[in-house]
Amino acid sequence: MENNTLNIYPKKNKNVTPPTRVYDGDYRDMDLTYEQLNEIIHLNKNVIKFNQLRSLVHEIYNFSNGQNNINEIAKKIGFEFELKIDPIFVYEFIKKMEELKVVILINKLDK
Amino acid sequence: MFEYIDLIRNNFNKKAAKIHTKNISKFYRSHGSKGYEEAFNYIYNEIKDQPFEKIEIETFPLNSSEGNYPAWEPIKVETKIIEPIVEKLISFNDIPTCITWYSKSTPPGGVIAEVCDVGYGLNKDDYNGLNLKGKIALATGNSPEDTLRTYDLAVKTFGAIGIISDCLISPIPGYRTKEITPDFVSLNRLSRKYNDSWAIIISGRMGARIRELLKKSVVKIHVEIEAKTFDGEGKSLVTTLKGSDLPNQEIIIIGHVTNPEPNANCASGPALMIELSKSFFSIIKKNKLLKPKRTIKFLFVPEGSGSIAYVENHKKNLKNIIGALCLCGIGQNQDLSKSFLTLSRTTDSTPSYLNDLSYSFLENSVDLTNPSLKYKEIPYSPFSDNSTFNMASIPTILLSSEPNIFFHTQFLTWETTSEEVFNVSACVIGGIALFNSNANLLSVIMIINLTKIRSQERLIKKEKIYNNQLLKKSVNNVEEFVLLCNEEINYIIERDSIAIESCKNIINNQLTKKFINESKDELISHGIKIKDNLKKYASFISIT
Repeated sequence: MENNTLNIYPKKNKNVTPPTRVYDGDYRDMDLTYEQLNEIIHLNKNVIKFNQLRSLVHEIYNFSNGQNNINEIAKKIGFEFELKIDPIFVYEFIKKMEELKVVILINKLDK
Repeated sequence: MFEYIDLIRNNFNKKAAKIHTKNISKFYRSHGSKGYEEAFNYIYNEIKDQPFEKIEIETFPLNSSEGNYPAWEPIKVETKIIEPIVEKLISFNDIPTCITWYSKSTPPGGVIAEVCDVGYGLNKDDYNGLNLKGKIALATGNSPEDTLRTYDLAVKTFGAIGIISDCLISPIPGYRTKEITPDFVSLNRLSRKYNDSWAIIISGRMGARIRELLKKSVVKIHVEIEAKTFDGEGKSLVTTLKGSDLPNQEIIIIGHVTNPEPNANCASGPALMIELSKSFFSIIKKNKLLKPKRTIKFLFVPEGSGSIAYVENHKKNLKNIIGALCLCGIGQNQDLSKSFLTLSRTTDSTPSYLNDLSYSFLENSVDLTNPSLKYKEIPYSPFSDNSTFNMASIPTILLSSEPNIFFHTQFLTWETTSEEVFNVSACVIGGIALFNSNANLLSVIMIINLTKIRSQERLIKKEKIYNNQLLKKSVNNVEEFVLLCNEEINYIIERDSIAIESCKNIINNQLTKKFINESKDELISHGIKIKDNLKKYASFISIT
């Protein structure tokens, strides 16, 4: 997984307005259910609270500039909010953002 | 910097700001509602005679079919217990925060149903053995997400006809809990994309009362709700004080008009903006200040929908925005509310000098105006229109009051605001706006220096934390720890170097470039010194 996330460079799709909320009832906004969100939270080794998701997911999107890979995004938002964030946590949201066409994924190996 | 604080302090009408808060907060200001329209007209009437170059009303659709916020307006809520006793529960007229946003009407005349206690009701297992079909779910909770989740399970999955909850959002241990503040009824919301049932919020006391009755017998409640979700029109007021020299460079001041009655914290933003703009013109008229060189725009918007529409409709001009200042709850009486004036930074993904400049204005405005006031700086907090602007890569700070005992309850009235806090907030927001709009070479050099110094302070603060952790022997693997600390130091230097670099957005010439490069080099040297110190200290600790 680590090698994969090192190669993935998400970039905002400026033609699509990103969701402002992470959880707005099941299958709304981020198109993730409460259970799915909790699963992602539990993928992170250190505790993340449900009400911290909005700030974190905003920054995952904001750091998606095509220059940061998944691991770098995880590290940066970890420093910003003084939390330990694992790349898998970021990757799960990035996967969903790609599905929603909010970001596009650039794989460095394909470049 | 100090001259701007002085100018605003002496020209800002803090009494009037409080009165505007009173007048705006008497309307129920949901998106597209009659109350929003009335509050908007009030603001427009206060603004219309001021000598702005442009006063524009921008409209946009409020309709969920196109993926926007729908318009929504509550009209009536009446609830009462009818079995085993008859007792009034809550009504919209008495407590407007009781209706959860985007709730739907009940059939005319209302519904009568048995109540079933689901507790928090956040997990499917909580519903084992319960038959909710045709009943009202009685729930509890601590956050807006709790209500959304319980609604999803109780209503959409298990067939309840609606929910009644004593969910008290944003509890503050020791100050704001269902036990300490048992009469608080806090605003909650359903998904703005649902429109299939309803949720009513009651106080902790009322919740306890129903639970007590449930222990002895079946409880039935009558609920009558009239609320409409409809295709409406969003409205923002955009006023422009055109810059005299560099009109294309803009500073935005944004506050939102929406929210239920009273929600004075939200009303305090536009209230301050009305008086701040008046104070700008008064200062210019008295020849105490020339007209600002760069443009200052005031945006009075419905929260969320208004800033999203603005960013969408002004895409081509966004690059002209140097920075934005977002206001939410900037007049709270700190003793009553137990709040701090709180500066939420721009996102780290959009590093900007604006953070350190704003903090400096906050620090100095408090010192010069009312040193007893409390203030703090926090990381990016996405809970107002600052999120929309930051997501569009426009550096935007948020000034608010946190925490707030009365947050989004019926007790968040204009009486919980304070003229003194309004005054300081005006000095901060007005000061930053005027400083940026008039910034010359000297000001830019000052900001570069300020950002560098505060960055160095941040690094020193980190160094102290690292050293303490080593000293307490709370580190398992010293080598790994030092590596991680070094990464964090590098991160701070990288982020703050971009912030220093952002001063080019104000003036970009050979001198600023030179000063920026020198400051970045100094910051890097400072970081190297801290990393060296840490390495030495860590090896010393390891040996001993």
